Amino acid sequence: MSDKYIARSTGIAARKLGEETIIIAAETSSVFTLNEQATVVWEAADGVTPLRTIVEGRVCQEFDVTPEAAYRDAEELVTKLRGTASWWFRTSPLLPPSSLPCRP
Amino acid sequence: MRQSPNPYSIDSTLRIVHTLLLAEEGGFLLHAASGMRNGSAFLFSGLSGAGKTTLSRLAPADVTLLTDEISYVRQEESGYRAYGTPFAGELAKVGENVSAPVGGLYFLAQGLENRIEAVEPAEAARRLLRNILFFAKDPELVNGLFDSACRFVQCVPAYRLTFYPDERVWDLIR
Repeated sequence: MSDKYIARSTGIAARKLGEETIIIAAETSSVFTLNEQATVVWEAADGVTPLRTIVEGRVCQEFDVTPEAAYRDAEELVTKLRGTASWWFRTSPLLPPSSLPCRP
Repeated sequence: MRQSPNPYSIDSTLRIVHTLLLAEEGGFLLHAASGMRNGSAFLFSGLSGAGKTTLSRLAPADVTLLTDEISYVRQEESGYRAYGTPFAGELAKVGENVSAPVGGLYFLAQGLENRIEAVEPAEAARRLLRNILFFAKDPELVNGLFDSACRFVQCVPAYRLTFYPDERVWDLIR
C-alpha cells in the first residue's frame, strides 16, 4: 500500500475556535468546519509526514479510535476537502527547497 | 460604477461601499435586524424569511430599532458596536441614528415556543460568514473578513433564538 501525503494549500485561511477549526477557501469563499479529530489531521498536514503516520501517531494517541477507523475517516476528510483545493494530495512527500538537487 | 438614478441604486451602492470600508477596519454589514435595549445592541441574524422584520415589528417601546434588515457592525477597542442604518427591509422604516456596544448575536429560527440556546464559536462563525454581506472576490479582503468573523464570535456571545411570533420573545432579550 503506497503512502499518501497531504499539505495545506496556501490559498486557505484557518482559525481554531475552541476544539474545532474553521477554514475558508478565499477563491470560492467556501467555508468548512473541522471537528477535533479532523483538526489534528489538518494541523499535521505538512506534506512530509505520511497520512498513516499522522493517523497512528497523532489521532489514535489523542482519541479513542482504532487505526482502521481513524484512517478511513482521515481519507474521507482528505477526499472531501481535496475538491475544495484546501490541500494538496500526493503519493510522494514534498521536498524542502534545500533538499532539491542543484542545477548543473 | 454606473447606476440608474433611483433610490434602490443608491441603497445598493451604499451597501457595497460600506462592506469595503468596514472590511478594512474589522467590521461588516450583516443580514440582521438589530435593536438597542438597556444600553446594549442585539443582532438578530438570518436570511430572508427568518423573521427579522417580524421580530422588529414585535419590539416593545423600550427597544430602539437600528434596522430590520442590514446591521452595521464596527470594531472598536473594547469590542464591537452596532449602528442604526438606513437599510430598511419589509418594515420600510430606517433605523435610528444611534449606536451601542453589541451585547449578543442571535441566529433566528421560527418555532412553536420561545427558546435560546448557546452556539459554539466555530458554528457561530460559520453561520455568521453565511450572513455577512460581501461582494468582493479579492483573497486578501476575504481573508480579512474571515478573521473579523472569527474575532467577533470570540468576543460576542452567540445564540440560536427560536421564537413564536408574539411579543413575549422580547422577554428573553436583555
